[in-house]
Amino acid sequence: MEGQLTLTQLNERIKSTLQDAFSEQLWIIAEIAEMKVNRTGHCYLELIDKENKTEEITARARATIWSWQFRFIQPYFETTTGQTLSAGLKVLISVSIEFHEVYGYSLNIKDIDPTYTLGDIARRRAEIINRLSDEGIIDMNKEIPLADIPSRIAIISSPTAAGYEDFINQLYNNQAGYHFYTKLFAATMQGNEAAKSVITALDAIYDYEHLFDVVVIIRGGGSQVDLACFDDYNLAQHIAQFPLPVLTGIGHEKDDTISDLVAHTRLKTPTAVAEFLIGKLNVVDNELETLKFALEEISSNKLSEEENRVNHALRMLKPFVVNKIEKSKRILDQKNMRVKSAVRGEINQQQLALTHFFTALSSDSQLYLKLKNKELQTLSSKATLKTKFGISSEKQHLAAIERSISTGIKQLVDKQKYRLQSLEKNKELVDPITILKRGFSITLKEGKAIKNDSHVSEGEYIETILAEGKIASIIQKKE
Amino acid sequence: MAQKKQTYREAINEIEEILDKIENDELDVDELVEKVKKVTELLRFCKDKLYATQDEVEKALKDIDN
Repeated sequence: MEGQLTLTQLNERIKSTLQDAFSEQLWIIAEIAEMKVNRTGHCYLELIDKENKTEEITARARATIWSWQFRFIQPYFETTTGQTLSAGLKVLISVSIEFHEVYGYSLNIKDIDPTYTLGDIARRRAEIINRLSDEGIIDMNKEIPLADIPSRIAIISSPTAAGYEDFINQLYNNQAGYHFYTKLFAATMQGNEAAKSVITALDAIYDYEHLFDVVVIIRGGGSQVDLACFDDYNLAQHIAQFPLPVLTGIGHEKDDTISDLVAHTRLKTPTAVAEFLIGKLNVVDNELETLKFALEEISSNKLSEEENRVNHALRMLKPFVVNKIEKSKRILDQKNMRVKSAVRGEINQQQLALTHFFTALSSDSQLYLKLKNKELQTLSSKATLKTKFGISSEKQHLAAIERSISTGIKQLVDKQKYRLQSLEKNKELVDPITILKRGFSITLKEGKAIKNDSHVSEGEYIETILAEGKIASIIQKKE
Repeated sequence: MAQKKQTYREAINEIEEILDKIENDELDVDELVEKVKKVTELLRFCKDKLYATQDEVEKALKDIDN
């Protein structure tokens, strides 16, 4: 069997043919399907190509990056793109075609152009954003109102991350002393599993939705790379449609990830998220202080307003009262005058009556006087009563009148007493017995006093009354 | 969580309503004292939301197992 080749001979021929055909390096586009770095630092990859629409794999090839090249390629790529060189990425690579008799076909990667990947990422991002937008969910989370006091916080983070520590410290050591409640829902925050892990955490929070005001997704302290997981469509969709506001603080300075874009509020770092939440409570606190101040001001204004009203009323009242008092005083004065003249008239009348009485009566006149006196007193106390409703000055006035009335009466009584005494004295003077005692006598004829001698004749019988005793005699002779 | 609790916003609305009434002379002095007391209570309620620890919240969060 001439011309028959061994496998080795075939592979050697393929090898030399390939070397002739692809003597130079080529730039090719491929997606990294798998990638691992071994202990010695060599990088082994599985490259694929896919049909755009069907995602069907149309080509596959093994590839290597030798460790001495990988040491330069990897950091350059990652700092330029902000992405970990990892499975899922589409890359533009410079390769040489290798063929090994034992291991077969592979590509040796000499260089990677990160700008292509950047472009690809941007394109894919744009696609995801368009999709979220078309589905009408891109702004859904933003439309949820944040609680006035977002103090109950569900945290999605890696428990060991420095960013988590920062967040907790910042929150619990807030200067105002606000009280926060936090619950950690642990998740892997980087690598290919991150998106799925964060979604699982969101699902767990969903079951306790009523216990929280807000969800925070924080990550930080690590490298700036490996944010691709936060550009994941599924994660973005979950965040956007989550019933609680989601705040992100995934620790990067560059462009927002899609997770940031759909979140309620995007903040740069976990510390910034804590500050934001404290700030919300500050707003409330200030609002309360403002209201407290307003309450004090409004109520004290109201009180001084009322005070002014009362003072005004008092000012209005004073002249009114003074007026009223003066009017009452005048009326009282008039009454006073009337009472005075009435009393005076009564006194005069009584005086007259007394004069008459005293001239008519003698022994019981004192009793009568007393009676009249009492009547007068009653009258004057009546007069006092009449004016009692008046002001006290008027009372005093009346009391004075009363006093003057009683002194008047007393004087009057004294005068009458004196007059009575003299009357008695006069009566004594004219009493016939008194006259008889002085030595005069009365001569009677038939019991009648003889005042003229023509009433008697000689020989008639007459009687003579002396102060003591009687004399009977017969007239002897008239002269 | 069965009983309806007054929210912060409801409290603030009530406070503002009362302050409006005071300012617009809709209350007499007797009511004023009562209303000032009410507002003070509401303010304290809101302040408590910021500063005080609500044990039932702490407990509810502690009971979540994840």
